[in-house]
Amino acid sequence: MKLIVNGKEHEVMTPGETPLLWVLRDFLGLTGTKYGCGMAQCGACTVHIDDQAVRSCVLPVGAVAGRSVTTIEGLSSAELHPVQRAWIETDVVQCGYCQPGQIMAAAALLKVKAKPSDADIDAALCGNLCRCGTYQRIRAAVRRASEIAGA
Amino acid sequence: MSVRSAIDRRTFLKIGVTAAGGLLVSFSWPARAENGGGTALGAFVEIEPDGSVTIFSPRPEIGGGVKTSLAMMIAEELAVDWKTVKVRQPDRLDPKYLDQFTGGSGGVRDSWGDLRKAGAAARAVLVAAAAERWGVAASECRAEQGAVIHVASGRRLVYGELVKRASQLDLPKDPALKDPKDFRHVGKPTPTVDLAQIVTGRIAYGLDVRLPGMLHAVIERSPTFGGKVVHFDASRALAVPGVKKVVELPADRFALKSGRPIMVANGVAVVATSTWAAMKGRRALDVRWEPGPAAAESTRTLRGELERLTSGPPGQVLRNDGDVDAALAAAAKTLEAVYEAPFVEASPMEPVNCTALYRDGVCELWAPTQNPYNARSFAGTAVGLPQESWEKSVVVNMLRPGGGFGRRLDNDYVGEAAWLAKEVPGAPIQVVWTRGDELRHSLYRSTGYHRLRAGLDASGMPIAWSHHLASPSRYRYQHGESPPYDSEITPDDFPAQFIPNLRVGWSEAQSAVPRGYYRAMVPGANLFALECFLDEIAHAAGKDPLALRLALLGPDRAVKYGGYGGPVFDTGRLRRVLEIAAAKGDWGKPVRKGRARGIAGGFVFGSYVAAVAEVSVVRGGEVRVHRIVEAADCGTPVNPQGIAKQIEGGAIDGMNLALKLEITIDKGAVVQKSFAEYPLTRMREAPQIETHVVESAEAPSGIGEMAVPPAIGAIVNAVSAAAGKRVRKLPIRLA
Ligand code: FES
Ligand code: FES
Repeated sequence: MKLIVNGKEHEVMTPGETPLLWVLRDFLGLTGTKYGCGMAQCGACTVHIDDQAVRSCVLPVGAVAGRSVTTIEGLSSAELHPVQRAWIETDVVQCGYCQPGQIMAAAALLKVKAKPSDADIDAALCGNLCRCGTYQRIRAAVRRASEIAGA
Repeated sequence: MSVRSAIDRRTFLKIGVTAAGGLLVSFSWPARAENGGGTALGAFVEIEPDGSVTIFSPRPEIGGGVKTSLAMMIAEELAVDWKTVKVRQPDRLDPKYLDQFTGGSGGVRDSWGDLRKAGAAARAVLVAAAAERWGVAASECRAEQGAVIHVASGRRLVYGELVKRASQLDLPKDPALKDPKDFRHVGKPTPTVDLAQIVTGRIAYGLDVRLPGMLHAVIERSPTFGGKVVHFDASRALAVPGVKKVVELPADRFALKSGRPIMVANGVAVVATSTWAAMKGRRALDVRWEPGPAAAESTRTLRGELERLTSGPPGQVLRNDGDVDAALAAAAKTLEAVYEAPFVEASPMEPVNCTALYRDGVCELWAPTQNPYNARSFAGTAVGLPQESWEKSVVVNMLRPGGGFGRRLDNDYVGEAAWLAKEVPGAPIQVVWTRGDELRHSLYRSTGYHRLRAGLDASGMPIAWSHHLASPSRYRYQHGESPPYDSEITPDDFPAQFIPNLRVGWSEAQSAVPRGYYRAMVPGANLFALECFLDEIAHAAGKDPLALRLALLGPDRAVKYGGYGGPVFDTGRLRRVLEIAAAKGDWGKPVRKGRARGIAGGFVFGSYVAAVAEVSVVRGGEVRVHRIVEAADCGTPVNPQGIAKQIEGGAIDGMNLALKLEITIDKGAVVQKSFAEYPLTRMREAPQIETHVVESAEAPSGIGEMAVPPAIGAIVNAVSAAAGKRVRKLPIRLA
């Protein structure tokens, strides 16, 4: 089947029920999208489908054939995405493993809400666990990203 | 935590030349006996003729920021511009890098002397080379921002121009270290290195290893601890497209010579060309298990046993000051309470995993581990290679782990992967643990049942204290070198030495549950019991909990501390952080209606920490944590920003332990299978966290674990106040 990931077209030979996460990681070598639970409970696997944040670990690849998938590797082009810049400025990262998912969730939020409130941030990122407990910095970084994007 | 293997620390510095003709400063030391002795050389500083500087930060980065802070220490003494420095970590386990180990909050503490010396020695020869060129005395020159300056004339030579000559000079044996007041990097808030790579998803964690021809495997392990495969039918699994092989993994106690033996579960591995195919194949497996003797164990039966054990005298008295029984009998008031902490699992965000390749008698590993020497032991033992050959026959490639929290100190998962690799020689195989596997087949921080008694005098001050802990021992499980109690309790913990009649005892319980580590494990469980019982005493005596602690601590002085983080416990440093946390956390000030505050402190692995938490209890018994204020004195704050981050994360982990995490056992098996039953703190629950790091010129102590225990104590004490009833069991369940 045909898959469009980060603007590039790929032909993948796998049963349509295979979760998108494993197609990205095992067949396309895009390992920036992480496995944390495989049950839509942690958000480590968050990617964008047509600009919306989704959990790729429970999304059958057959359901996204022909639609546009963006992963952390494709979030920024020449310049870093405002969310990524804000993450660096705020020094959010500890182990970093959850952060691609957090960043994808935050970027999707800012698409629909340029100036999110703390409650918006909490609601949008509630499905993204951070074992290292970086939540406070994530919140600050999302606010900062909104500033950068608006500037 | 005696997890470090013995390392001969008689190090000395060596000078050399890089491939490009630059300056190289390394450590040289008698290599480990297990590597056949000899002398090894490890680079720490490389300065090339083009002026580029590379600093090697030896310890594995698990998220605690050690890669950044160790490099900062070298950069400081080297007097280079931090922005121009490239920080690298060794790609492999290599005896020449000495301390490739992260655990016990030892990263900065144990490297403080050695790494600064390496930087200072390099600076000394660069200054000497410049002085020689100018024909002046070295004492007339100083180094700054990657250049040597002749103070009187203002002449300046950058390091790149000096390295050729410098590399021919003799390194000073004892190079002069900088006066802390001249520090430019140490003490400055510094962002983590590698941020750009991480936020773009370009950094490789263990699970991200991709090799040509790689296979993927998952393992269905015995649901009960110590259970056995009776029979399995692989035909349906093998019919799944992509599944290559199904193989039984024998239960084995990897008898490690240099490490500790760990039981690896009997299981059935499904090997496939992709992770998903392996997972699907696993679901199609048909396995019949013999549950084994552990099936009789449950959380309830074990709790009954712990209760019984603490009803009698302790199996072992670890400390006995004065006459506790007489003092209790004579006390104006007595209190007794039981505090309980459950088994917990570390559950790093990246589940444990390992990739292994076995070919021609060599086992190569790609291991996200905190403890690569131990990983090598597991792999070498699992594939049956002789220990003398491991330096060559077991290759450990270091991958960034997605968190550690103690889970990656044990390397059972590495042993499994190595064993499986031998079943598919020539093909790299990645063994993936699902979250369910991580929760159900891990090594767990032990459960504990604390029976505490106190006797107060007429003024309400405790004059008698008895602490009896019953728990299964991690050291017993892992055949540690230290006595079994040592992994469970620290007899010198406060208030020991501050109450005249005080007894600490321990009784050993038997359990089939494998015991391992967790961030701040011993103090995490014990300071909760001690700090919350103290709070209880304060309330019973009508005293302010902070005032009671300060009164017990008495005048500032150093007392002996035999536990990890000792040998000295400085009461003044604990007093100070308690006072700071109290002041910044509005202790004693009015609090919003429906909310309450709690305070706790402690001496954790050499650092002094205190926390004030503000909570409310909403209908249905749900606890909300609004604010946590923590103050820490961890000696010289090498990277204050890194320390703040560790406190923020530690406070959240304190919430996890106080409010959420519990592993329960039913019929010899773990009940929790996913984050739904093992819920971590989420974004909307995350409180405001304020951190206060004390300025200090003392040697730095550990930061990765210290913030957890006081956060637990402060939250529990706050909840007790808010709920109007005493909470004594973790995790808190008010409903
Ligand atoms: S891996 Fe998809 S939500 Fe956890
Ligand atoms: S940074 Fe480690 S899990 Fe979020």
